[in-house]
Amino acid sequence: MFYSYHHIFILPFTVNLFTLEIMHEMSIVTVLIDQVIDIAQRNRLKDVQVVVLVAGQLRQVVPEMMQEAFKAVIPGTIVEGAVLRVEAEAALVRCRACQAEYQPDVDDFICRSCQKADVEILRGNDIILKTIEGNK
Amino acid sequence: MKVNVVKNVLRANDIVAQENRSVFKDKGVLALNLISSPGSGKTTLLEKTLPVLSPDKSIVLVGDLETTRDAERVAPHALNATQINTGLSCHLYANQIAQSLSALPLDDAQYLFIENVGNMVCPGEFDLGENLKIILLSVPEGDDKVAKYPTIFRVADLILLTKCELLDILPFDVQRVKEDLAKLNSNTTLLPFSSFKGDGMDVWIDWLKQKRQESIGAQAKFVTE
Ligand SMILES: Nc1nc2c(ncn2[C@@H]2O[C@H](COP(=O)(O)OP(=O)(O)OP(=O)(O)O)[C@@H](O)[C@H]2O)c(=O)[nH]1
Ligand SMILES: [Mg+2]
Ligand SMILES: [Zn+2]
Repeated sequence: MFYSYHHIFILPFTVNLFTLEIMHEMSIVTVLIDQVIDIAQRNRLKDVQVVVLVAGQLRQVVPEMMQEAFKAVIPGTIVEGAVLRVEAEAALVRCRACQAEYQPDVDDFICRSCQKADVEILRGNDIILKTIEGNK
Repeated sequence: MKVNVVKNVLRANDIVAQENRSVFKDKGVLALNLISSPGSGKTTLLEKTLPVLSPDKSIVLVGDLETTRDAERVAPHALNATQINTGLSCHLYANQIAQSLSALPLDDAQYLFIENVGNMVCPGEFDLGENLKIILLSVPEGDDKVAKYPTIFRVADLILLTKCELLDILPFDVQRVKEDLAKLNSNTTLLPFSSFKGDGMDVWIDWLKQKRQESIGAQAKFVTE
């Protein structure tokens, strides 16, 4: 199920763009595009115009790179020509030591109340396919 | 027409990872996901660890873009060593592990080491069903890597500071790394380690044995209840 994506790496990018950074978004887009096509087909869409993704802050997704990766995988699919919108979702965590809830930074999870860094993540850790739009 | 989906994109992978996790639990195998940049010393770590730990009780799965070199290197020290060529994918997926499991002698194993593709970012997104994530940070990579790749370091169960004998000759501020880590996770451990010189080996082996005991101990309790 995950193996059939080699075509996506025939890239319209230059090699220096094809760094770890773009690979990160690429690895997510590779999974995403499969799901978009599946949902479009089940809803009998003949094309897809807009895909809206919610990216949790803790996933460190760069929207522009996501869009580049998206453009690279859609040619030849029913998603060709679609626009990808990436909405950011801020992170929210709860301190396991003192139960305080706060918004961390990706590189700083220290509790604003007790100075520990030991958290349960409440929000901002997921990548959600929110909506797709297309024509029947 | 607009279709409301609200679907977690990585969920399909997570479901397979959970299935892998329950297989490991059933078999009493501790599964470890080794993650690092290319060349941080994952394969060398395995070459040195397996003979000390229990060569005939350890299985190694190696993810690599190409070649079977790493599997060949660890094979003499392992019950089984299997290479998964990921083609151009920069990380392993849970279902690549799932597909490999049926061919592995899990009944005879105690440890499953999964050497992920050399990459500090994507392996963090894809749960393989491992019990523990081990991150290797080698001294030549520099002391800024925790700050640059916080996500993977935050979820690490253990961080091995590999090639630590090079601390004598390379500029590397261990304190800075500790401070960056402390901001991410109070419970994480940084262990200076050298496959060449043997630093940290005893602590590492004890840690592995203890973690396996904890995981099968929990299982034994479950069975008798
Ligand atoms: N100085 C020093 N070099 C080491 C040590 N361990 C490994 N190396 C060297 O680092 C290089 C890479 O080691 P590998 O074990 O192949 O690294 P890896 O992480 O498996 O690499 P990839 O699988 O390609 O990502 C080799 O030249 C090793 O000899 C160590 O403890 N000290
Ligand atoms: Mg290797
Ligand atoms: Zn707190």
